[in-house]
Amino acid sequence: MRTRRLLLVLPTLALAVSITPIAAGAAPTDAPWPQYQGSEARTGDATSAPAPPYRIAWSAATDIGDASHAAGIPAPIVADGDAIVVGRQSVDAIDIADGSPAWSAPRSLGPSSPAAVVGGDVLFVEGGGDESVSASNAPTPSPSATPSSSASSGRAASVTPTVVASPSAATTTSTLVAIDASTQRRLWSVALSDVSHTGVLIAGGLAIVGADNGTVTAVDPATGKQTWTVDVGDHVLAPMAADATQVYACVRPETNGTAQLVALALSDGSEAWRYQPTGSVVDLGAPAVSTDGGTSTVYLVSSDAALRAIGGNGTQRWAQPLYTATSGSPPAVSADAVYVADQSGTVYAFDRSTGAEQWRFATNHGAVGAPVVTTTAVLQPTSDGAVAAIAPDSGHQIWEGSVADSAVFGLAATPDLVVAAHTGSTPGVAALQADPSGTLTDVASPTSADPAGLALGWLVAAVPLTAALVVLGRSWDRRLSEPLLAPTEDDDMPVDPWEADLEDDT
Amino acid sequence: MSNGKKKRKRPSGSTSTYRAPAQADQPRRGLLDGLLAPRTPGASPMPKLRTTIAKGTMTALGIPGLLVAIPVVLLVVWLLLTLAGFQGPITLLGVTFAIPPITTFADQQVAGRTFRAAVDATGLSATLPGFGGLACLLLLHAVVSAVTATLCVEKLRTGSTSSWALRRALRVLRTTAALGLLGLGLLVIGALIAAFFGAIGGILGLVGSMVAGVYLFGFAPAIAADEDRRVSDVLIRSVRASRMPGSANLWFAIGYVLIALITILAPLPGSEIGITPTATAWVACILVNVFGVLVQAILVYRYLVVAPEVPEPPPPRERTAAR
Repeated sequence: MRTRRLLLVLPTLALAVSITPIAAGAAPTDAPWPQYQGSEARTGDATSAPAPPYRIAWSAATDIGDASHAAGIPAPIVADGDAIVVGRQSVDAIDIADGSPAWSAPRSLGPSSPAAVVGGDVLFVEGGGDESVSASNAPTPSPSATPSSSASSGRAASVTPTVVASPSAATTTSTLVAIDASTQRRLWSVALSDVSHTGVLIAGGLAIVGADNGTVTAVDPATGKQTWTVDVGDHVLAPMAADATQVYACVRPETNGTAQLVALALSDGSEAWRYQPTGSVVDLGAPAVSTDGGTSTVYLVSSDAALRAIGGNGTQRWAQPLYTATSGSPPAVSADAVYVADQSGTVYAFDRSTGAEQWRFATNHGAVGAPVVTTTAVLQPTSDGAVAAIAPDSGHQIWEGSVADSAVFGLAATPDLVVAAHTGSTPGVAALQADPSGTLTDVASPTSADPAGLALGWLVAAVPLTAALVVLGRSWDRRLSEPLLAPTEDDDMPVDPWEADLEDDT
Repeated sequence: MSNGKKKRKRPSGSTSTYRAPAQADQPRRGLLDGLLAPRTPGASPMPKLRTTIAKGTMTALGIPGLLVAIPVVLLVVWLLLTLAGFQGPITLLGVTFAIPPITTFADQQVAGRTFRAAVDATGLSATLPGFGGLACLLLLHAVVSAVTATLCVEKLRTGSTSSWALRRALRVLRTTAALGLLGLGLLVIGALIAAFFGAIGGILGLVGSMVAGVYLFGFAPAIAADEDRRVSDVLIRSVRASRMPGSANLWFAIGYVLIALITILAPLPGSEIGITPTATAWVACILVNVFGVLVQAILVYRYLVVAPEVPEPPPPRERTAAR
């Protein structure tokens, strides 16, 4: 118990790496990135990751779907030597050693959301229907059911024991499912009351999911037994975050109203506080939590194109505007700064405590996925299949490479690889590794002032172009002996408006 | 100041500076006759589009001052906007020399990114910066449009331009400013319509409102520059001119709006975030604005040709006489 208390006050990194498996009461596993953004804090802070420049180590196809079929947040996690990503109708694991398929488990069709690994079990959400661009309004039938393995897991009885490998029947609601990573057998499943988009949060020994109808449900990840469930009032869509004592969920109003951030006690789901931004904020993005000396700060973006820092008691510490709105992904938080990207692909660094902007870099690639920060770079996935690496200290881009031909939804970092899940013509997972023969760049942001470059560019463009147009116009003009539309009614005494105006004015 | 031509007082009662208004029969006045005049019968006096485009192009390119002003104005506007926090893309400045509501559409984008209220501002402090910025941009485009139209009118009427165009533009400014507000209103209406019809409706609402603005009020700057009329009369006359038969004005408006939207939204050089546009981006921006000037000149030429044929609205009812 004493050990656990000590862990609770350790920095975010310790929370991410240490608390989860211990608190879950499971044997520690080799899980460098066991859940979305690396930990329950969703900080995306990788202390051990390869440094740029990178090269593609391997690529593997999964069931994420192409641009018209992908839906949700199929962000990768890494555990037990596998990169795991939730696709449309399967959960796929790729061996990170060589990119070969490790296993695949069927899943009822529904929006993808990040899975989580705890104690060798993979928890994910399935069902809810097709939300992709190509979706029809009719409920999509479940995939052809794989014959049940019908083997007993030997675990404690679950709320809905479904020790089979087949997915739940397709419904308009989602189901939280646990499978054994080694056998892919279903250990238990819990039907949720609505569609879930949040993905699974493992915190405080609980597996927590939110649903569109506003319910937040916590279950025992070992048994699937419900620990608590609360209704926070309205849609819970964004991935949730947690610190040692509280879970943070963003609530989006159905129609009118202002979005809210709700802090719930991990122990029983009771509401600790509720933060409501002023102004017309209709939505809040996914939160990330950092803890310093026992005091937590929640960082999240809002629909009014701002990054906000909320104190542990629900009071706003600071808010900073961004150039454009964001996709709602959580910021990455390191010991020094908070990093966030807007939809235009501009990556920002803000001081954690004061909110002062340290730098911004316009990648000019749209950003949909959350950034990840390592000791050497801020890695930003982009909507056109690239990953940009920006130096955390200077804000200059030091590397950029393409891993796909369409959006990269998320990154996961291991000591040797950066794993990217993406859509595109060959949707799947790609891994980047350090490239000793590669070269680093040092590119300043296009938003940096460059008066000489501005003047030069304008002169080079404007002078010859304008001169050419003027010469062309004058050559035409000389051929005209008379005005094109000289007054015709009284040719001998034309009325000149300019003279008439003069007379009027005088 | 004189251009050497003989002066004469304009005829009493005439609103047209150059020509006497066409004397049309005065039909019984209907409720909306002032605005929605019936199409005039007979052959169209409108010049063919090919002729119009050629003459408009010759007119615009025959005004060196206007051609020089385009890159200068763009540079000044760019510097002011970047000082205010705008970071691009410069393609949004591609319609600086266009006409409302196309300029208004770009103004909304620029103002939304540049003149933002502080985070968490409420009430007036939340809305004033955006509205103030938008008003400044509308005024800027009103000035640009007024000067451009007036220069084109003077060039077409006299074969040359003078500083009087600038003075005359002050009078045209009321009309072009009103056009900016009208364009804003049209875009709001388009957005409201779009709200009921989803994404497809949104696109149609946006394009439709812009086409309506160009089609109905595209002649207004030319009318204001060429004739002495009240703003409301100018707008009504523009609608009447646009509805003249066989004019292909609607197709012209549709084509222009689509091309203008493409120049704003397409990944042309300069469509990226950044405050130091490349030479290629400047070239693209200048050329797109030259195109906008050409369109204005085309509209001016087109109106001046048909101005004598545009029917005057029927006179207001004389209530006292009726009694």
